[in-house]
Amino acid sequence: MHNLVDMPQFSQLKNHLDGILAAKLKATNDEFLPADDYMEKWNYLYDRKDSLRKENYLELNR
Amino acid sequence: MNFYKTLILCSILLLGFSCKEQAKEEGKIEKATVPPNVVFILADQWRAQSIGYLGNEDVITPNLDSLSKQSAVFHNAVTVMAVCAPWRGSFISGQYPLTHGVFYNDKPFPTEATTIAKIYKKAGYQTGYIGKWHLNGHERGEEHFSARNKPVPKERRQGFDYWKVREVTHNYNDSFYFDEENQKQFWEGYDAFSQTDSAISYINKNKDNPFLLVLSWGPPHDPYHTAPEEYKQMYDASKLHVRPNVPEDFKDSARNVMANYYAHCTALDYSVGRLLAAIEEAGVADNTIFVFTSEHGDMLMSKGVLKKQRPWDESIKVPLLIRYPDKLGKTPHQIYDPINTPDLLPTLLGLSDLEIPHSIEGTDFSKALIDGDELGNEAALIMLPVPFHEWQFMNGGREFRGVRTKKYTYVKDLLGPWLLYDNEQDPYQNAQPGRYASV
Repeated sequence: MHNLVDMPQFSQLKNHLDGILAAKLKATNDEFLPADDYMEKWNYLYDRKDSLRKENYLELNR
Repeated sequence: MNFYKTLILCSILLLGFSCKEQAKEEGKIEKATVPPNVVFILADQWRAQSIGYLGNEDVITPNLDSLSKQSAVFHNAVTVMAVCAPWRGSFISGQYPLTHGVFYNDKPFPTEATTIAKIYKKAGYQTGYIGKWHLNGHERGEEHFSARNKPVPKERRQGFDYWKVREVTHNYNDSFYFDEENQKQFWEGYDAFSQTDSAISYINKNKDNPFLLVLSWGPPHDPYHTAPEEYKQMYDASKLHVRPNVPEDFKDSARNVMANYYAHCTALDYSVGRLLAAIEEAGVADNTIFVFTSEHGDMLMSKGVLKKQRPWDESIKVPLLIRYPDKLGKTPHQIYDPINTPDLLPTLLGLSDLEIPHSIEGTDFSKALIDGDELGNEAALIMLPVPFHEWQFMNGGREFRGVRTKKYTYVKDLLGPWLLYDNEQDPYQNAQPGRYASV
């Protein structure tokens, strides 16, 4: 078995779960913003080198 | 105490006893005549896959296995955010991490929050906390671990009065804490054992009044090799089973880590046994809500990595047992619907017949527990708003949100849908080769 996320035969299931996730996020006022937005909103600083990232970090090891 | 006072007290006690016995004979107690005690036992980084009653044949956990035969047994207890301080903030407040604001370790939990000990204290309970706190945090600009060795000021203890607490340590064999007066004291030997002694003493001293006690152990969180020697000798690494999602090159290393990790687990299991015996001897077992759980799990080399924060089951699934004989009986109740961290506090309040404050975002599942039903909950939200420390961006960390249902895991990152697993068909969440980096 594999990660089914890109398999067309599971797209209906994916959409169903996406709807559940969206409802949970809405109920908790979670806009799913990038990390920096939350750090700024709460006036937090990253520890040590935690803020460093490659420009394409989201595409790596995905 | 004079003769008449003694006589009146005895009469009240006898009346209370006979009412309770009658209710027991009728097979149910609709509302506890005496408010229940709450004993909440929290381990740190003990994953659901490493406990006997959930199917692990290697780890030795006889006391928890026995407790599971008298408890509500949660097969899908999910941690909302698989890292220490955020879990703790969500547990004590019943809120999600982006509401209480501790979504990054060592950031300060809001002093004015409505939290578990404040609620129980208002209802007349004695409140006590022993062990690791990890919610005081540090001010902006201070060195990031600077609060870990400092006392927690009284006004920052969130309603807990009895107090033997260290903000954070994982040096279990040379461990100090601060008492109510901020005096530094030392735990003798392996700290989880001494903390358990202290908890037993607290239970005995408070058995005649309702109390809330949180006992928060540091193990089995790494360093893995620091359990007492007699427990380490119980395990032969070469004989341990490794999960199939541990890469071949990591299997020996995983066995060595697991032998040490299991030694901590067995030491804590022994302590659970002592606590249960003490509660029984104190005569409060039936009227005590006894909870055992953990903040989050540990990958233990599954997918080639250690520790947590990630969305996979080894990281997000934790053991959870709730025993409360007076209201839930003493037969096991197997529960497969997911329960999430913010649901714990409202469920405890529901079981205690206490009103649930509006600030709480989690769900009260007490009715389902009392009725012996499933929770009727489709999914638990999992998240990592900000990757940090061991799973920082440069180590492969990424922001994610997801849901864990009884059957599926679905996770999105900022690019869109990222993971989808059928956990019944694929319990090890095996990914296509090469899709995950070994960190």
